Amino acid sequence: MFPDVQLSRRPLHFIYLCDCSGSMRASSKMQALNQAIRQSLPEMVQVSQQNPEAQILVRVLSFADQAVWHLGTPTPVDQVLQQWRDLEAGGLTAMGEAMKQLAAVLRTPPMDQRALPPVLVLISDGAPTDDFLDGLRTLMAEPWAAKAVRLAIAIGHDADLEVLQQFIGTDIGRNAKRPLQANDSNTLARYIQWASTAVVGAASQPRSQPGGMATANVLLPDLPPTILDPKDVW
Amino acid sequence: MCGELSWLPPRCESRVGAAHRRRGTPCQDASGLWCFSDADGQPLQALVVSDGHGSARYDRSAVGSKLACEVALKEIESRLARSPIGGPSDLEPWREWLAHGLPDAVLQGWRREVLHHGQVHPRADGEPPSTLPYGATLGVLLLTPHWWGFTGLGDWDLVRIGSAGARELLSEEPASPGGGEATFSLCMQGAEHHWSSRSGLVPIEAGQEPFTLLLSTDGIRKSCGSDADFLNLARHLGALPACDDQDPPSPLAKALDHISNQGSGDDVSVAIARWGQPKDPPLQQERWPSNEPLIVQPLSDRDSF
Repeated sequence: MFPDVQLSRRPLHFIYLCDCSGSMRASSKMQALNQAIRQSLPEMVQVSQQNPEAQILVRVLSFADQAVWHLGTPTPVDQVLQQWRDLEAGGLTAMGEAMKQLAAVLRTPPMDQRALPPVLVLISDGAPTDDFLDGLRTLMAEPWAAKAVRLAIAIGHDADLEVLQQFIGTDIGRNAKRPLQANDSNTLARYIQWASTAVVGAASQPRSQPGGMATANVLLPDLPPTILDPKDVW
Repeated sequence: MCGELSWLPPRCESRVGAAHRRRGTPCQDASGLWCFSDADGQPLQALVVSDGHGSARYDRSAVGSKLACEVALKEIESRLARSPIGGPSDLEPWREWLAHGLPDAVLQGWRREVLHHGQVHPRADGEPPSTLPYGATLGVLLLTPHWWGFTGLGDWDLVRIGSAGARELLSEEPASPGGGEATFSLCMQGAEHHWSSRSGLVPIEAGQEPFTLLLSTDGIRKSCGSDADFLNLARHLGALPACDDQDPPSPLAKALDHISNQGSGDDVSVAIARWGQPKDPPLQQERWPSNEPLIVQPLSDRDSF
C-alpha cells in the first residue's frame, strides 16, 4: 500500500543473563537451567502468536570467567529452539562484565527507538567475582535498561540476593520486588516459564500512561504459586 | 489571503487498533475538526487528535480523549468568535495564547467535563470522581488565513510536507518523561506546564507554496520501522484522496487500518490540513463552515460508557 514505507511490529527484546560459573555444575543446576529454558520455548512461541504486534527477539548472555554472548543475534522466538545449544558451566562469575556487555546492546542504535520495554532475566547461583556495581552503573545509564522489565532468579541458597536486588531495582511495580528464589529444578522451571510467557505477554501489550506516575510501564502478572519441595536440593 | 491559496477542507480519522479489535477493547483515540469563522468572518479551522492511556487505571480514557477533542474545539471556537484573529501582524498575543491561554482553558474545561462525567456515571468500585481514569494526550492545530499554530501535550507528532515532497517533523514529545510508554497527559498534576514546549505559531508568507500538515497519535509513528518511514508515510496519508461518504470506509480509514494491522496494533488517529488551491478536489465542502465540531471515535465491540 505504501511502497517506500516499512511498517513493522515493535521489537520486544528478551535477554537471559545466565550465570555459568563452576558452581553451576553442582547438583545439576546447569542441566536444570538448560532444560527449563528449552522447555519454556514452545509456550513462548504461543505467547508470540497471541500478540502479533510484538516481535519477540531472544538473546542469551552467559558469564563465567568472561561474559560471552551465547545467543548473540536477536533471534525470533520461533527459531530459538532450532538454534539452541546448551550452556556449559566453568569458571568465575563475571557478572559486572555481563552488565557492561548488556549495556552495549541496549543503546539506540542498535535498539530500535520504537522497541517495547525489554525483558531482562538475570539468573545466578552465586556472587560476582568482578566489579558488579561498576557494571550495573554502566547498564543503568542506558535509558533502555531503566525502562526494561528486570527480573532475577536466585538459584539455591548461595546466590547473592543483595546483588540480584540491585539489578532489579526498587521501583514500585515496575519489576518484581524481590529476586525469585528457586531451590529446586521444578521451581526454577516454573519461574523461567513465568518470565518467558506471562511477563513477555504483559510486555507485548504496552499501555501508555502519564509520565512521572509511580506505576509500571509493564504491569507484572502474578507470580506462579510457590510450592515447597521437601527435597529442596539447592 | 496570500495569493489565491487558502486552507482546503480538513480531514480527520480515528480507527480502532488491530490489537484492540482482537481483544474487544474500546478505541481510546479520538480526533476532531471544526471549520468556523471568527468575529470578523475570517474562515478558520481547528483540528485535534487525542490518545487515551491504555493502562487499567485509565479505564475511562476513551471518554477522556473524546472530551479532550470536544473541549479543545469548543474552547477555540468560543474564543475566536469573540476575538477576531486580526491581520498578519502582531502575532505575539496569539503565540502566547497557544502556549498558555488556550492550554489553561482546555485543561479547566476538560477537568470540569470529566468530573461531571464521573458524577453522572459513578464507578462501581465506589471511588470518588477523579480525572485520573480519563487520562489522555491532546494535539491541536489551528489554521487561520495569516498564520497557523499548534499546541498540546503528550506523544503526538506533527509533520509538514512541502509541495515538492520535503518532509519535516515539526513537533514530537522529547524523551519520554517516565520511560517506556510514559507520556505527558491531561490528567497529570501540573499538566499546564508541558504545553508551551509543544506549541508554535508559523506566519504564512506571501507566495507561500502549497503544503500539508499531518497531526497523528503515537500509534502511527510506532508502526513505522524508522523515522524516515514515518515521514514517507505522512506524505502518503496527506496525499490520499478525499473521503467518499457514500462508500465508507474512506481511503484514509483503510490506510489507517492497514497501518495498525501491519504495525503497532494500537489505535491510530490523524488530522490533516492542506494549504493549496481551492479548486483542488472538493473535499466535503458542506462541512465548511459548520455549526458543530466533528468528533471521530469509532465504536468497538465493547461499550466504553
